[in-house]
Amino acid sequence: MKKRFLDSLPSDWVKYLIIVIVSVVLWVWVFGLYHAPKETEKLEVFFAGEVKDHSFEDVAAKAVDGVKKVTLSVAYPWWGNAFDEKYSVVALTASDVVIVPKEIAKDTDCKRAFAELSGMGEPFVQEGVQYGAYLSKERKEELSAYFKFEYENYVVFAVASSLNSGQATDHSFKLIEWLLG
Amino acid sequence: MILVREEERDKAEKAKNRLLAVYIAIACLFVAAALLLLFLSPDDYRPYMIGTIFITIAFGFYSVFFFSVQFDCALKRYRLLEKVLGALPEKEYGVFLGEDDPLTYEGVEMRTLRFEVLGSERVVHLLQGELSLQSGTKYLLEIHAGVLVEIGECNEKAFS
Repeated sequence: MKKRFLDSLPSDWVKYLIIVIVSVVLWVWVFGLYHAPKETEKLEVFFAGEVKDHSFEDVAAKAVDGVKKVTLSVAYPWWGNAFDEKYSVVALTASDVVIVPKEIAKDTDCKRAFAELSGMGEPFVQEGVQYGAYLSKERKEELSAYFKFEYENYVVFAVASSLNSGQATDHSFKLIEWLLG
Repeated sequence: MILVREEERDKAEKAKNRLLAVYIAIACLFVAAALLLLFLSPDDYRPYMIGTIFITIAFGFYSVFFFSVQFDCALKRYRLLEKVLGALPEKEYGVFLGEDDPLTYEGVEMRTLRFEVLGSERVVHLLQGELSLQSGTKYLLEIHAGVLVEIGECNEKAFS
């Protein structure tokens, strides 16, 4: 048997090699697929400005229980029309949490885009309803390790259409609580 | 002296089926272990994934060895026995000339015996059995598909 095995090696080594490659590729894919975060386990944060350090994504994911992945999407307010386009398409529809300067927040129809926040931080009120909360100076300073804050005041919102803003989970609100400190 | 019996074929078939049953049992165990590791893996699944990869490689190597060597060997032996026992018998008198190195015949390694049959040399394969033959001695051979199935002392009186 041993002799036959040794005799088969020169012709069968390719099979052994294929098995190693297929095993690695197959299981990396299967485990990745099995553990892929569900819609309710990932949060997308939109920031109007420049991101200095993307490690925020890992820090934020660890900060909120039940969240496996946080992704950042950005648009620069000085882009003009391009910013407006991305803000309305990505931030107001596809994101979960939005961080924008007060000037942009004022121009947004919050009633249509954002969920109501009550009793969170310093309120940002529009038409008598609190839709957002201002980032405090201390918190802004802490978060400046990740974000480049170029405006005086920033407001944090929870996107109303997001599953995580009360429809399925309240992860957006938990992240906002953590962001406000 | 009978060298290959009907029971040998049944034994070979049983051995082949037993090997296959063992393989299927190991395959089921492997699938169960791999799925268990997958479903029990926590969010930090890397150690579980590496474990699964290792058992898959081990099972894959065993499968290649099984189908290209172990099971293949048992299957070839069974097929040869079936062929030998199903072939038409040839009864010849032959003088034993000598033995060559073992050869692989129909995928099975066998002893190679040379006999002088009807004035010409004939190579006959011996599948099994400890057979010691004396050079220059005449034997009565029963050959099936080139394999020696029965051998007996030569009875010249019966022949004449």
